[in-house]
Parts: sequence; C-alpha cells; structure tokens
Amino acid sequence: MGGVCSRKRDQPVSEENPRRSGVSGRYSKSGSSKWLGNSLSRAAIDLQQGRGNCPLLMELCVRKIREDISKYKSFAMLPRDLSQQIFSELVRSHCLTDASLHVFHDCALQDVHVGEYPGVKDGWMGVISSQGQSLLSLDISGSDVTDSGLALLKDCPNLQNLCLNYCEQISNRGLEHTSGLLNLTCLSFKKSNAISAEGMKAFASLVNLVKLDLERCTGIHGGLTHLKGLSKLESLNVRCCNCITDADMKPLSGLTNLKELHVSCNKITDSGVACFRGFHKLALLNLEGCPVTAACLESISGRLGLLYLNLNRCGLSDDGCEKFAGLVNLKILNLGFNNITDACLVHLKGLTKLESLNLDSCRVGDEGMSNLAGLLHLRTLVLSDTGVGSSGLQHLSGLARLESINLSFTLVSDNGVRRLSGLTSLKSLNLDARQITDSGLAVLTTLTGLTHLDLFGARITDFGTNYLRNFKNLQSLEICGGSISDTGVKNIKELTSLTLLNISQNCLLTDKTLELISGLTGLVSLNISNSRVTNAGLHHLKPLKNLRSLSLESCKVTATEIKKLQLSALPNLVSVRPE
Amino acid sequence: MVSQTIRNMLTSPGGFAETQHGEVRFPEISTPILEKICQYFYWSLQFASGKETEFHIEPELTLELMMAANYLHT
Repeated sequence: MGGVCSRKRDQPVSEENPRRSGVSGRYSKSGSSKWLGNSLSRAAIDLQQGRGNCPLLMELCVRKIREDISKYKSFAMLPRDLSQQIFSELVRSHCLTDASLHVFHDCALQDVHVGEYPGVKDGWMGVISSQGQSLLSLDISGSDVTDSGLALLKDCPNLQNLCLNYCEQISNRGLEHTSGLLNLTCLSFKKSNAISAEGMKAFASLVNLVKLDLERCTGIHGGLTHLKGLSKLESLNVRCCNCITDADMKPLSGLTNLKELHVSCNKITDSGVACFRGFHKLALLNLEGCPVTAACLESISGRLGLLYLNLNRCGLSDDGCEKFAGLVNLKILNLGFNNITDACLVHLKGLTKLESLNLDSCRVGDEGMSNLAGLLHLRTLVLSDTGVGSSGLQHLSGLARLESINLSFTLVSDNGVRRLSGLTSLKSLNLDARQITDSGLAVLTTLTGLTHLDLFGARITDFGTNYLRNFKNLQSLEICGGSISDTGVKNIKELTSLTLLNISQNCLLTDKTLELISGLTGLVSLNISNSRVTNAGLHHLKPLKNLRSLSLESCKVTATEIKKLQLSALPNLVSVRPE
Repeated sequence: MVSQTIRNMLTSPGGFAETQHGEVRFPEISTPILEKICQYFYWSLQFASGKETEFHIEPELTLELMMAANYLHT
C-alpha cells in the first residue's frame, strides 16, 4: 500500500512498460490474461511470505501480539520501530479495526499506510494525527475521510508524503488544510473530482513539493497556475484529467526542474507544448491522446535528456517527423495509432539507444523496417496491425537483443518467420495471425528462451504442437486456432513452467484434455472455453491449487459444479466463467 | 548462530572482554525473558531440522520478549 508515495527518493524516471500502454484487451480473447498483470504480482508476494525459513523471534512476537490485540490498551511505551512493525502487520493481515486502532494513539509512528484499507474514516484521523511530528508518510487512499478529518493533519507538520487518491469526500475545503504542510515533497490526489482551481490555491505554499499527482481530477482546469512558484517540482501527473488546455500549460513554463510530465488525454496542442521549451531536465514526456502534431517536436527538439516519449494516439502524420532525429538519447518511444508511414521511420534511424519502439497500427510497411536494422539496443518492438510482411522481417534479423516482438495481425508468413530464428534473446513472441501454420512454428524451434508465446489465431494443428516441446521455459501460451485436439494437448502437458494457458476455441477438446493438463500445477489462469469439456471432467483440475482464473464458457459445464470444485479444491480461484 | 548481536559480540575484532572470554552478559534482560530466548534458540534449531512445531509465547511476556528480540536481532 502507498506505492505511489514511497519515501525512497532519487528514483530514476519510471519508464512505463510500453506493452501496457498499447492496446490491451482489444480482442476479446482470454480476458483473464489482462487483469492477471496486477493480481498475479500480489499473489507472488503472498507466496513468498508463506514460505521462508525459520521465523524470527521478532516475527513470532508480532504475530502473537496480533492474535491478542484486544488485550492491549496502548503501545505508546514501545520504541516506535516496534509499534510500527505491529501496526504494519495488523494492516497487512487486515486485522486493524476501529476497536484495535486506539492502541496506537501517540505511538510516534512514521508511516501510516492504510490506502484502500476497509473502514478508514474520520474517526481514524484522531489516532493518525496523534503521531504528531513523527508522522512522515500517510496514505488514506480510497477512504471515507472528509474535509474535517483532514483538518487534524495540522498536528503533523513534518509530513513528507501524503496520498489521498480516490477520496471522494475531500473537497476544496479539505485542501486548505494541506497548505500548512510545508514539508510535503510528494502529494497525490488521483481521481478527486471535487477538487477545482479554487481549492488548488492551497498548493501555492507547498514550496518543497517534488512530486504532484492529480491524475483523473476532471475539475482542475485553471488551477495549475497555483503551481507557478513550486520551483522544486520534478514530477507532475495530470494524466486523463480531460480538462487541461494550453492555457493551463503557460503558468508551468518556469518550472525548469521538471523531469517527468504526464499530460496525456487532455486538450493540449502544439502551442501548449511550446511552454515546455525551458524544461531542460525533461526525461519523460507523455502526450498520449493529445491533439498535437509532429510540429510540437520543435519545442522539445534537441532535448538530450529525454529518455521516454509517448505520442500514442496523437494523430501524427509524417509532417515534421524529421525532428525525431535530434532526440538521440531516447530509450522508449511510443508512436502507436498514428498516421505515420515509412517516411517517418527514416528519421528514427539514428536513435540507436532506443530500447522500446511501438508502431502499433501505424501505416508502416516492409520498406520502413530497413531503418530499424541499426537499432541494436531494441528489446521491445510492437508492429501489430501494420503492413509489415516477410520481406520487412529480414531487416530485423540482426536485432540480437530483442526480447519481445509483437507481429499480430501483420502480413508475416511462415516463410518470413524464418528471419526470427536467430533472435535467441526473444522471450516474448506474438504471432497471432491467421496465415501462420505449423511450418512457421517449425522454423522457430531455436528460440528456446521463449517464455510467452501467443499463437491465438494461428492455424496450428496437433502436428505443430510437437514443436512446442522445444519451448521448455514457456510461462504463457495461447493457441486458439481451432485445430487442436486432445492429441495435441499431450505435447502441451510437458510444459511445466506454464502459468497461463489459453486453448479455447478448440472445439475438439474433451475431458481427456483436463486429465492431461492436471500435472501443470503452476497454472494460474486456464481457458478452455468453446470445447467439449463437461462437468464429469472437472475433478481432474483439483491438483491445480494455484489456479486463480478458470474459463469454461460454452462448454457442457455448469456454474454449480465449478463452484463445488472451487470450494472443495481450488481456494485461490477468484475469477470463474461461467459464473 | 541465531542472534546477529551475540555473534558480533563474540567475534568482533579489538580485544573486547566478550571475545576473549567467550562470555556475554545481558544485565538489562530479565531472567524469564532470557530463558524464553534460549527456548527459542532451541526451538529454531529443531524447526530448521524439519520439526515444525508451534513456539508458545505467554501473552504477558510478549512485549518484553519483542523488545529483547529486537535488541538481539533474532
């Protein structure tokens, strides 16, 4: 909890995972695999805590105190690092309640991270503010705390980090109470729709602010002018506010320490970007979904510090794209969903430090690929929904560091896929295209490091599954072309590293498949929808104790039987189809 | 060694009495707590060799034991 406002400083620019910002969930394929990104990481942490070696005496004591918490009256006499450990354990285990909270009155806690914790309300603020000058970091995101609860924070003048994301009860009046927190370096107010320009006056006094997050605050047009004097500000996020205009950018032009600026999904045009001219330290600029043209590059051209540039869905054309050539230190460039053609790619030729390039759904083709041949640091390349075909791939065969390539819905054929066979660094390969068949897979058996393989719509048959045996490290596999039968699954059952398996749309699969995969105990997500699986086969899934998502739509399976299985054998299952 | 503090006391260079005599004293830890800590050392040895029982802690000792455990890094 409180991930946004961690007290660690000097963190490098957060380079967003470019794969995330693309189009996830575009096809209604295994919906499950999309949310797994979040929930999986949490599951992994829980597991780590469960295992471990011999518990420390310290841990045993903390656990014991948690069990007996109702017997304690106060921890105020404990050294604060110990009461802090008890507090964190109670939060982690969801054992902190209205009743137990009072034992922490006056404990000199430094961190109170109860973001998204159930039941946090004004009544909690008394105990929280009693930490007084000790309190450095507070996260009450998603709570019911109101303006009057926030008023109590005047007792905590040393607060450095304050996270108030998704607090619907906090309005402009509540903001006034933050204006005295002069030590704040990090303030986060995501999705606070009650905040307007008027309330943002309070920010003007927060001269030590380094990081301000106002993502999805839809009423803050006109308020950024109060940030004018915050000369220490390094990171500003007004992503998806949908109300920020060029006029809002003008007052920011003096904030020359800005390193990260997220203004995506707003009404910023080229003239708004012109206000960024003075941002010489800018390392990250996110303009996704803003109505800018390539002419805006003029304002940021020659920014040697710029590492990350997101221009996804901006409607760029080739005009003005020559300015890309000056951004020679760029590591991550997202140009997805623009009207750019091969003519633009010429100007990317010299960006040899690029590690990630997204050209999703751009009008680029084989010819343009020759400009990417020298980008030897590329690790991630997205070419889905482009005109790239087999002859384009020949230019990419020297990108030895490539770890992830997305060729879904391209024109690449079995023959062209051969060009990828030398890219042995590849870990993730998306070949979701109808024209790919068994013979395409046959030439890729050298890619033994693959951990993710997406052959969703490819026409792979049972014969082709023999080649899958080479990919022993596969963690996720989607193979849904319709031609796989139980025979093919025999080859899949050897892939014991799998955590995600989608073999839906293969209507030949029977209960025998469930029996075959019952040894894949690492599976977290399984989709065998549109098959001949029946209730009678469900018991084979009992060994899959890690399963969190199970989809068996359009099978002869009933929700009641799945529920029974869930209750009797699969405690981790959280997402089930049919419900 | 299950306590980092005791290890340091017995192995630190510089001719400390603890290192020379192989003996450490904890005047600020009370006898029942020290006894409990020794029980924990024994318990953790068994735990490490696969005998995973529960370590019982009397509620009235917990806070004091926690402070001692914190001091001993155990």
